[in-house]
Amino acid sequence: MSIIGFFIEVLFVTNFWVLLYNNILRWLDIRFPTKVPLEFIRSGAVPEPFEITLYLFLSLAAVVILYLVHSRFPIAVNPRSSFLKIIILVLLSILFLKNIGNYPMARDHYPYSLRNQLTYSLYFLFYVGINTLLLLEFTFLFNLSKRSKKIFIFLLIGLLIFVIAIFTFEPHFPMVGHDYSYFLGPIWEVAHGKTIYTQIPSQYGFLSILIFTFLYKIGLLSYFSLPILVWLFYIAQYFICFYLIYKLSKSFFLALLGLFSIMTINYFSLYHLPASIPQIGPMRWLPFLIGLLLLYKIKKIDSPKLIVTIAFLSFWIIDSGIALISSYLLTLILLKITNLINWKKGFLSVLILFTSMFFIFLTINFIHLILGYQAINLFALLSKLKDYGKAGFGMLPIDTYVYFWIVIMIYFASIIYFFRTSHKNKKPIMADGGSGRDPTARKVTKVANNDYQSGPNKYLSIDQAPISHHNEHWGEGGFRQNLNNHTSLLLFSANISLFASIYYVGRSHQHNLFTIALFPLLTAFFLLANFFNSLQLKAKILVGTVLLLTFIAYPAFQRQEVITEMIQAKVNRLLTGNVFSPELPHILQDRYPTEPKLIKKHLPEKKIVILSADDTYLFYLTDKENLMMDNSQITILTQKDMDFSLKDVYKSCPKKIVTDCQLMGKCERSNPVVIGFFSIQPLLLNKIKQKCNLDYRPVECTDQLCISEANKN
Amino acid sequence: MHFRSKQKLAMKGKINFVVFFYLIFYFFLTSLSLGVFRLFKPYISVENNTSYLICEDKTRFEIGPNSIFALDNKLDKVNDQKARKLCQYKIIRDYGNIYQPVDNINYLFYPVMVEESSWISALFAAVLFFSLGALIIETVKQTIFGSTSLNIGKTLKELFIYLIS
Repeated sequence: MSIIGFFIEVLFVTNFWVLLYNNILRWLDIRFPTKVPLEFIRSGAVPEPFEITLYLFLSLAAVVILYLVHSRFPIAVNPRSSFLKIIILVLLSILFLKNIGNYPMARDHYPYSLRNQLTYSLYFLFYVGINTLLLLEFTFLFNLSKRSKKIFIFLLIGLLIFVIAIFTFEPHFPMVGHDYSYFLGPIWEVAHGKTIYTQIPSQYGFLSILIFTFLYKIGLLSYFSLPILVWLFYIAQYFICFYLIYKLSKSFFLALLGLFSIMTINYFSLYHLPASIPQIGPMRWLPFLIGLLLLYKIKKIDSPKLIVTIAFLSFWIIDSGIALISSYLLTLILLKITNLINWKKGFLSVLILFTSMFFIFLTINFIHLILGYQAINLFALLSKLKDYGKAGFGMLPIDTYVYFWIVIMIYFASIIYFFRTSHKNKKPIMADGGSGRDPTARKVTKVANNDYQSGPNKYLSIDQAPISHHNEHWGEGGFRQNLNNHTSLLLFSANISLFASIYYVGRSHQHNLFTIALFPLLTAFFLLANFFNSLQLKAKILVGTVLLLTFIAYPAFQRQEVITEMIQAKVNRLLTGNVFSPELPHILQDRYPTEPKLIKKHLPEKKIVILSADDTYLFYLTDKENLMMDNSQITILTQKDMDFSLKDVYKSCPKKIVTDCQLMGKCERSNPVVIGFFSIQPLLLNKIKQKCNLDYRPVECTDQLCISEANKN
Repeated sequence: MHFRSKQKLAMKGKINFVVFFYLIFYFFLTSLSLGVFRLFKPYISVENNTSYLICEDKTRFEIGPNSIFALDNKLDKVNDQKARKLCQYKIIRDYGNIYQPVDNINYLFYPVMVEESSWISALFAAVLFFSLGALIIETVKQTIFGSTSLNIGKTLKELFIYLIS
């Protein structure tokens, strides 16, 4: 296939998609204006009923049309480029560049104050220099160690993991109190006997919360070591990316380029220390990567082991679980319509998937009942998703000109590549189902071999990579299996990118583009992996340089301000010593030196009410249980949530409660760790007063909290 | 001989019909495509999220987030009332029209103008529209006349396949 023809098709489909999406969305928004839902206590709910639906509908419609076009008109091999083709390619590229607009948050120093340009330039050069140096050094060492014993390769891999660890290490493990409370709050509650969702809402986690609670209960995880786990997850996440690109391309250089590109855009472009906000990183993305890794290892999309693992991982975090299941199902459908798997296998896979999910959920419930917990309410499980997805809480509208269209382009490039090469995959897979023992194997492989050797089309096709190289690793049968495995992996990764990006389509803040960039970039490098190793050395150097400039130097240049701040912050934190000690316990100690004692003195009972933004951390400091249903109180969004949260408080109407000092007018401004945009505590206090017919007056206060006692109205 | 010439005549008649069919429909399609081209040509519009008002008391409000929308560099009557209320009472969405707007304009409007669309988008939209129209015309033509030697659809299809191959 011709690379120009391929890009013309990709850019044509992407530009067409963008044109339709922007105009249909504008029309729908004008034609069917949405009403702001009234059930929310605070502002921030902007329903976007069309953005995600249209995104999925148009993408899937485009996939169907592409399938129909490619199945009816197989693209002939035409490697010749012509003036007309080049003109069309240039025009489509200009249009695409117009569509994507400016680089997200380009040269934006938010939220830091501006420094002089020389500092930024030095840090930019330092960052790009270090990346280039590591890239060349590791490639050189790898080439050296290839000729030596295997142990050197393992040492080199160990060294690479160490480099990833250094890059992602955040001394003192900073934690944004607000974001960590979404995990630590439910962990505390479940550890103290409440059932997740039924008695304690959870914003993000499900199985993650249960597993962390289990580790906490058996003493393997301390309350504040969650950011250490997040750091380890980051190392695993980026190493899996490197490993998969390497395995697909067999190029250490390309894998390193992929790794540093992903880290530059997904990690170093963020304006905060990434691990300080747990839900944006590997906590959300690692299950997808484990799925991809397992598919690579097992090599069969319909393997029960893979399906059961996907079912298990889908419970980790609910919204990313839905994306994982959707990605798997779409991959199955696409493999079926191109006859790469048959009906029976496809149907059986779906059946195993849903049966596994059912039994996993049943097992979780069973364990709950055995341990004396209540059963999990299946409907409550989706309540936060409803608040955010349907009612549009926290949603932001998508821009017309945005770099997100690159994600769409990479998706269509993968799908088009898949349809263009699927007929080549079909024969061998149908021959033996990937076992590698079919007698026709030799013949089929020979055809592929001839394609490679005689055809002038040396770009982009899996089966056109050096055959001897594949045979060296997998043998002839393995080569056929490898064909299918590469295709399935590319397809699965592309579909993950499609569904994981819903996170951005919903909350379209430009900053979130860096958060979702992981899978589009990984998919792009999977695509590149298919042809990179078949290039001549000179072409490799050229492509490598272009990739380095495009995916590392350019993004680093556009985000040099935040890269400077991130490196500075890491260095400053390193210099303070004792770098492995999490900082939050010390901050809490400083913020609340006397309060835990005061609370214990006035409230000897086990279950108490703490009306403070720092409720999550105060329960930990006092070792008390929560009489309310929410921990943290930030998760309360509606009147209904508030009544649910206070239902036990209404019953017992406590004589004494802990309140923020501001609530009692005893301080001008308290200084909690959790900084929110809205304070729910005054509303909660009013509700309690109203329902219990009580008035609370402060009996003893500090400069942060008050112990308040009830008086009959 | 007689049969052959009859067949020739019938064929000629069919071709004439096809030419006529093509002339009419492709003329319409080309006109409509030019219309689409005009529709998508670059235009200046107001960016409602960043355009702002400065009230008499020097308070600044971005218009879009405060439910005020402008189509050009002036506010229409409805949005002008909303702006006056915003500056006077600091309220948005006075559904019941409870608050009375002040008689005089109490704000200055600073629209942020941006260029939307581009000539190349217009060209792309027009080409797309033409292609989709041609697809419909060719399907109708195939249904009415069957295969003919004059076949623009086939040429267009071959061109498309050539470009992406």
